[in-house]
Amino acid sequence: MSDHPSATASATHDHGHHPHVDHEGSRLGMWLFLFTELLLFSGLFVLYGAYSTRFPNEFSSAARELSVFWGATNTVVLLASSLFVALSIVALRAGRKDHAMGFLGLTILCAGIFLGIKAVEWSGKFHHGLYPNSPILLARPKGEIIFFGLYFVLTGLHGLHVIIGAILLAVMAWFIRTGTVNPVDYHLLENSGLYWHLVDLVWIYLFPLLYLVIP
Amino acid sequence: MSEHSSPLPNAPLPNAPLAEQAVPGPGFPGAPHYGLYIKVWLVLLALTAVTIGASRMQMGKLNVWIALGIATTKASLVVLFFMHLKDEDRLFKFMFLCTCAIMAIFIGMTLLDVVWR
Repeated sequence: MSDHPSATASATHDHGHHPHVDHEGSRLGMWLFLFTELLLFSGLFVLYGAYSTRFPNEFSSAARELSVFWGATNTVVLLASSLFVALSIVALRAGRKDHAMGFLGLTILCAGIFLGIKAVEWSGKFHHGLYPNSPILLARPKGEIIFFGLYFVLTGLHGLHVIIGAILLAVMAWFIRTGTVNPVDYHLLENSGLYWHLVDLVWIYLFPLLYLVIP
Repeated sequence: MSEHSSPLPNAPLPNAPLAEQAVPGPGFPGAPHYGLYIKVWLVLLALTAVTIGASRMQMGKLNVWIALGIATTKASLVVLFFMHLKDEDRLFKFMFLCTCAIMAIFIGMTLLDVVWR
């Protein structure tokens, strides 16, 4: 009557063999983590808001030294990458593992292009002697020093997230290949996709604030 | 008895109702389509063009707010459609709004202090 040792087991294990994966709980956990990431970047946006208010002219003149062309290209590249990762989930759910992996490959390719363009932009600045704490930069007006400090930290932190996201998605492509991520259980891919979309979200705000707001 | 056999790890029982495997996404629990995502992406591209064009026009202080408004529209599209928040439980939407409120207070109140000092 009361000897059901499997009763406790079944509370944590379905079918006695596999632990039950709570897809919604997994997604909730990922969203919670993304909120912390948003607050992380918020800290930097607070700095941007405060100092752009304090030094409006110098922020404008410093921003003019950034290339709207490269910034806009990077925006398009990241938006495409978000599309590709969303499509990879659609493809996987439809059972098209090959398409899913292909779309992930395209996403990672976009990440590579984004980082390449970032490297071009940064090396251009370095070439002109502009990097955090450089003598040339320190000789500039205070507001411009702060703008470039924010520029490097914001795009640097964002770039770090791009690298992490790309690695994560490469691992997901591998998991699709081995079957760990499959049309029935794809919460890992979904969560990695959420992380990638966050990267896109941050850039959606970075682009206008750093490159475009030039009154 | 194949009660415990599953073709894939973590798969529900073969005769489990579809709702148990349902997760958010377009057309769920049926087959999702590429179309919606591509449309959202095209709108995002258009908004990017708009924000670049708007930044070329001299509108003084308004420039910042227009840029932020367009960015927020783009962000909403990404969050609602690409991140599936539109199809998620009310709880997720509420949590996300709470985070937005925290960010608004964080950035907004700090700016109030800076501007009025």
